[in-house]
Amino acid sequence: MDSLHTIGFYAGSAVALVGGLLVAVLPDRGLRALALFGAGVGIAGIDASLSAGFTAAVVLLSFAGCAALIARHDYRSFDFTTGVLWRQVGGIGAALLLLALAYAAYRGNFAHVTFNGGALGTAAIGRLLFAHDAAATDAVGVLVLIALAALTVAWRVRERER
Amino acid sequence: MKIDVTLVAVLFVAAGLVAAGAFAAAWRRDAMAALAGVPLMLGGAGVALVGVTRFAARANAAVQTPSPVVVNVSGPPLGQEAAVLVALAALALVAIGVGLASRGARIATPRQETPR
Repeated sequence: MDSLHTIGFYAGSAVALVGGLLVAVLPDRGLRALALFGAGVGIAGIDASLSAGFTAAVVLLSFAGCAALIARHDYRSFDFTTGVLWRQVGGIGAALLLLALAYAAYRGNFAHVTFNGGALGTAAIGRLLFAHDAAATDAVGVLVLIALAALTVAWRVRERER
Repeated sequence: MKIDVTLVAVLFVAAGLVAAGAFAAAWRRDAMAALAGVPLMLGGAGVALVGVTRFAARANAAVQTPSPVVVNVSGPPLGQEAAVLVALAALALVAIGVGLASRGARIATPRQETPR
């Protein structure tokens, strides 16, 4: 990789990881949504530096949508009944997960290839999405449809009872 | 010293994102705040998929090479395709979660945001 892509990768990684940590610790929902969008910008930067421009655009749109959903003006809190102990166990579990994944990445023995795709790869991904793996694309489309229907039903029920 | 990007570096970053998302999902008491961890975890998975496509994906399953380690051509960007689908699935899951959480909050504790 050339220097520009290398700088882009490490800058995007720093933004994504800092954004991810801020999502976990920030108390205010607006700032949390902003941090989530920042993490999305970082991940999109990583993807773009890895010659996946189309994926970067989709990831950016996806994180922007997630941030907009989390920063809704009619935000309502819904607390889990899980105790403090279990949440602390979950936090330690996340740290152990990081160690396990990092160890697997460090010790892994991977094949090496010379990437011969373009910077965007839109045509190749389109062929895969709509011809090679059309069933997977349909499944995700159904999932998005169900999500939109669920969101609409929840919103309509609440508006009707207001 | 020349700094380069390798698959190991990509997988380290992906692991950090997955762990940060898992930490957010496990640590936050508020369901809406915990939901923010979902796109982080799936985003980390997407980064790993894109990295494998960029550095280590084989050309085709049908191609037989004498060495299992060194293959000199990359194949169709299956990892990028999977990353696109994962990103869309993350958005859909957050939308479903927000709908369910706001429906539950209507009954439980309306308009109270917990600090943690």
